[in-house]
Amino acid sequence: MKEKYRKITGSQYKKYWVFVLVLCSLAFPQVFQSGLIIRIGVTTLVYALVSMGNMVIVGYCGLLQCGHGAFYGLGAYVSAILATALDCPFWICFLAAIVGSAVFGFLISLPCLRVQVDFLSLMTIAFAQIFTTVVTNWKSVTGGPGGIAAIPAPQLFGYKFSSQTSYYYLVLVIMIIVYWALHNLMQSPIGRAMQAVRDDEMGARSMGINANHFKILAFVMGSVVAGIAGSLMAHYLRYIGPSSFTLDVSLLFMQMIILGGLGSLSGAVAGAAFFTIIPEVIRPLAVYRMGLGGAIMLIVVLLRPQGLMGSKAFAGTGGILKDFKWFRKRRYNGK
Amino acid sequence: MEHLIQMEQICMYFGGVHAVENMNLHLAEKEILGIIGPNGSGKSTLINVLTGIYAPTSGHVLFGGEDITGRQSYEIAAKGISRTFQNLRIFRAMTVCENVMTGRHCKVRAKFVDILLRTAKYRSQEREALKKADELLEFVGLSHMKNEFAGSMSYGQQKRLEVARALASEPKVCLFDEPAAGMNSAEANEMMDLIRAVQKDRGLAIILIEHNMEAMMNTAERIIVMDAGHKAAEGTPKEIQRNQKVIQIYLGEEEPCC
Repeated sequence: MKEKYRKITGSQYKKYWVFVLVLCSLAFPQVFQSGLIIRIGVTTLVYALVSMGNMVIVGYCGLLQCGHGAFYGLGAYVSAILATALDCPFWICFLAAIVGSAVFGFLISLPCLRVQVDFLSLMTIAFAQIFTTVVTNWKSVTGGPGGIAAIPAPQLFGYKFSSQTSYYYLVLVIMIIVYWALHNLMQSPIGRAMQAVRDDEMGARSMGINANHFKILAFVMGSVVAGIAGSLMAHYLRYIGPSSFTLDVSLLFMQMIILGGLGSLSGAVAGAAFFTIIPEVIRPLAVYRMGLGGAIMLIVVLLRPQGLMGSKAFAGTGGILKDFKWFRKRRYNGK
Repeated sequence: MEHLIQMEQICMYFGGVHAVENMNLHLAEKEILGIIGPNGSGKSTLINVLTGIYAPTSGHVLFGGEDITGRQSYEIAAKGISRTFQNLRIFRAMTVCENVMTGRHCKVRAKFVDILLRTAKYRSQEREALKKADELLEFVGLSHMKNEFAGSMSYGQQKRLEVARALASEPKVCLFDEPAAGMNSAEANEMMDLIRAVQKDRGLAIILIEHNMEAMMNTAERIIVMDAGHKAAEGTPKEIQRNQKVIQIYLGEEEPCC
């Protein structure tokens, strides 16, 4: 029985799973023609991008930052301002969002090198709050609390991505490219160095790893990916406002990667899907959905303490299933 | 005479605590130098000064004739001084193989773009790192655990893994900070065999800190005894065993009878 279970989830079958998943996501908008469901699909993909960025910083480099919404928001605002105020074409907005969030990530990372775990999260919360305050009050540039409306749909090589389905495919392609790139990077010496810094900073330094260098790199990479997602979201919703980038949103991104499993990129995608799809599924329950959502989350954490796709190294004591197995084994032996 | 490592008049003060005071130390090529001393005598501090974790209050550290005093620890590691730690500092959530490959970090020449585009240069380098990791895991006897998580291994295995990781960067000098601590005598002997093999087969110079006297006397070629931050004695194991001052440090002074 156990052997059989191993066979389909084992790593040698990983490439088939990837193939099936890509096929499913390609077929998704054709199967579900409803605009609402495709909208959930696009949101999932964008949040998957944001979470992958957060995963690089928190899950791979071990920097417990809680202000990822600011990086995401910066990409969205840069893109939206360029598109509306300066009438720039989409690709310029997109590249500007990448460059802008890279610079922002770099600047934020510099003071963060000075502090450790707990103070780092306080500091990034502060940065996220400053970001929200600035975009709410700098009316002449960001439109203040009203936000920026009438952002044009993106146009690439003469094709306008105005329908839901076409936008879905655009985001999907970008997400797959980013996933592939990050996957390569995290398997490489760069990814290994980041994980070494996460697991033991002094040990890493003694192995010839310049820890500060990799912390900055993690911040820049994470914020670039979040900036890409922000730009895509701004052009998708056609409207952005400060309420989309509050601390709540940052904490949601944090929940996504923790539930998905720290230290795994597929976990970031799984976590994003979980936190986008589950609220929609239980929406008919009206007021009870908050409680049920919390209960579902609790059950997942109890069953898989390492997160949905996380590696066993983060499982701690092994969760409730291990206790259950131990209980069964004890009863069996006692008989 | 030119020494591989030369530490001159090293002082390391933490506020009012004089952890190391006026230490001189030299290490020749392919030599095993042992450092012993009671707890708190400054052995580990000396190693930490040598590897750049602390910058000394005064004094100089020369490595191959070059002044490396106060350099960052990752720069010193890249120059060819590798180490293991007294309390384990392995990368727990990474696999055994990844741990050893990470030890090779200072040999990495591929740039960000190489990795992103998976160029031939990057791939050949990764193959080489993998081959080296396999070879080293075979050397320390952990090749059967290659894909386990490092944190899930036993204490003795983690100690061996640290040795493999330290050797992965092909260093000139390797520092072992209590490699046999917490091991029984059979395990300690195995560890000392491993350290002698590191020196013999790979031609490394070694600085060894150890509390296990039997293991130390069998392994080291020259021993420095430290006490309260000072050098108390220096000589071959035989000389150290007969040294009155050393006996006094370890066993205390005979009180005049009353």
